[in-house]
Parts: sequence; C-alpha cells; structure tokens
Amino acid sequence: MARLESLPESAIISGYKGTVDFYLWKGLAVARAWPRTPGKKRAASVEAQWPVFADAAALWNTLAPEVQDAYNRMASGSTLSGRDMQVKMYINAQKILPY
Amino acid sequence: MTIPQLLHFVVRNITYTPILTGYLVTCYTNNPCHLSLRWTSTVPAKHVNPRMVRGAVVGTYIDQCFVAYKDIEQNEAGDTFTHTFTVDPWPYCETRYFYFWGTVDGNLSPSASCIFYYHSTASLKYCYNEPENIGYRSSTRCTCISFPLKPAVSYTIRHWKTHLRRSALSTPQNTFEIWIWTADATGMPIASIGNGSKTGIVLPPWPAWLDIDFPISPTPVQEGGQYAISWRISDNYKGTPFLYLEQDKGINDVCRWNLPPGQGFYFCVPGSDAWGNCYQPPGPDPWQVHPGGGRQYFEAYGTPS
Repeated sequence: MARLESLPESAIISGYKGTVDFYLWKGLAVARAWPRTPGKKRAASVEAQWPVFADAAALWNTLAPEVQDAYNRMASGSTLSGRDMQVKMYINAQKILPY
Repeated sequence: MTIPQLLHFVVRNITYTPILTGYLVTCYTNNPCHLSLRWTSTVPAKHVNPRMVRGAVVGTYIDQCFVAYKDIEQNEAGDTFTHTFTVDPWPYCETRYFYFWGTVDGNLSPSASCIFYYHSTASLKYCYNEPENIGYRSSTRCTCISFPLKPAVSYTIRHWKTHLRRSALSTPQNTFEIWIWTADATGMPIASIGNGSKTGIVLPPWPAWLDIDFPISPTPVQEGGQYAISWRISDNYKGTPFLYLEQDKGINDVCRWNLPPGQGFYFCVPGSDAWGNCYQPPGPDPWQVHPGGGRQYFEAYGTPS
C-alpha cells in the first residue's frame, strides 16, 4: 500500500482499473495493487474461522422465537438483519458489547 | 486444548421462573460454557454508525451502550449446557436488560448473547383473602387506622393493592391515603417512611369491591423489622365503608408481611373533619390502641356530624 498526497483525477483512477486500486483509508489517500481473490489459498487463521462461521449461520434456525426477536430488536435501525447480528455476536461480540 | 468452534456459544432459549423476591433465569446454549448474566436497569442506548469500506459507505453497524451493569455468575459449577442465575432481588415492576458472556474451559469466549429484557410482574398475589381479616370501620370522619406488620423479607415497597367497598347507605369516598411507618414493639406508629394516595375514588356499594393499586413512594423495609401501615378515607358522611388491605405477596404463596401475634390495632381520631391531625399530631400520643389481637373486626369512630 502506498500513501498519496491526494487522490488523482477520476480519469486517472479509471485508467488504472484492474492494475492499481485507489481509495481512502482512515481519511488518507492510498493506492495498492488491484485486489484479487486468493481462491482457496487462505491464511490458516482465516480458514480456522470457516467452521465457526458455518456453525453461526446454521444456528439461527435452532433459536427460540423469543431469542430471534431479541436479535431482530438489536439489529433494527441498521442495515443488518437479526440473523447478521447473531452471526456477528457468535463470532466476536467484543466490538458490540462491553467485555 | 479447546477446539476453536467450541470456544463460541449462542443462547438458544431463555426462561424466567419467579421466586420470592426475584427470578430464576435459565438459559440454554449450544456448547458447554460457564456464563455470567450482566444486567442493568438503564435502557441500553443504540448507536447506528456508517460502515466504511475503502472510503465508501456500505451499510451501517451497531454500537450498544450498556452501562451501570452488574454481573451474576451462573449457579452451576464448570461448563454446562444449561445455566441458571438467581436474580434476587428483582423488584416488582422493574425492567432489566441483560446479556450473557462467559468462558469455555477457562478461556474467555468471544461470543455473547443478544440483549434481552424482562419486566418483573411477580408480586400480584395477596396474603389476605377475607375482608374481615384486616378490619373494617364504621362512621368515618377522617379517622386513621394503623395496623402493625412485620416484613418476612427485606425489600422495597413500591405499591399496595387494596380492595374497598362501602355500605349501600353510605356515600362514595373520594380520597384514600396509605402511610408506612416505623413502629414500636407494640406496633404503634412512630415515624412515617412512605406513603401513597389517590383522589377521585368512587366506591361501589356492597357487595362489589373496587380494586385500587396505590403507588407508594419507594420505601425500603427490613426483614423482621417492626412497621405499621395506616390508612384513612376522606369521608364526611356517616356510613359504613368497608375496607381491607391486601399486601402484595411473593411467589409460592409466601407472604411478605407477617401479622405480629397478639397486637391490637391503633387508631387516631382527629379533633375535626380536617385532614392531617394524625400525621402532624397536636398531642404527644395521638394513637390509641384498640384491644385485641390482629385478624378480627375493628371499629373506629370519628367525630359524628
């Protein structure tokens, strides 16, 4: 990732499409190589989360309606669904609630 | 060593079982873990923030404020699928917000449950079923009646349920007051510590009863302490307003108040029709004892018109 003084004009950004990716990162103008999917080659730490995510996604239908309602209530007003909220809080709730 | 998936948990179901002065909260998880219930009476504030991805807004995310909380550890030892929490006291009519967090095999789990809330409604049964158990009075005129009581448990009085009715020959009353007092060993009121009142009450004629739920200024009382409850009606007419008081009662038919045995009632007759003489007495001892123990008829006479 390279830090820029400012983002170039949109025509330049478009010209590098597929090669260089320009964007804002924490308010800074930066550029990086155009992102490519790593396919099935993922870091071990990332792969370790796959079964957790699979569990989280599968658990929604096992919850009591009262519990589902509580997740829906938490997610209301955002673009998340109650199910999204349940997956997030199953994987890592520390960014949402005090620990 | 713990398998990564087993470090996580979700609460699948939750139940609330009322106990004497609170609730037994039970939750069930998909994995064995050791949980704590984190609760607060403060409504959690929710902040919806824009979610930024590479400078662009893509949706929103939630931040929850959860403040002034307390933790209650589960009753069971070790990691379990079923978790019970004794939340006691949990006062009547108080809403609490809570979620569960915990450990798996001694390691802090990254999971937490959603935020639940529950409104306590577990104290609406009564200790006295017979109207004559508490007493009645006839020919009122602002007469104050006091009754000695001892709390069976320590808690805070927030309301008092009362049934009232009047004889067909009397006229409806309009104001009713209840006072909670500290009392001496005989049950005589010493100092008021809480009260509640309602105006505009229209009593039905006998045999109908009117249910009245009086909000009482929050009044903490201690188990085994000596207290008294007094009441009066702003009735300027002769007649026979029957009344009896029902105390709110815990679950499993356990009364929160006991009648001290062998103690009589106290009553106070003001010197005029005006309110207030019993509560700001002109003399050193405005209360007079009515002979006899509790749970019998009681009559008090005010100044006749």
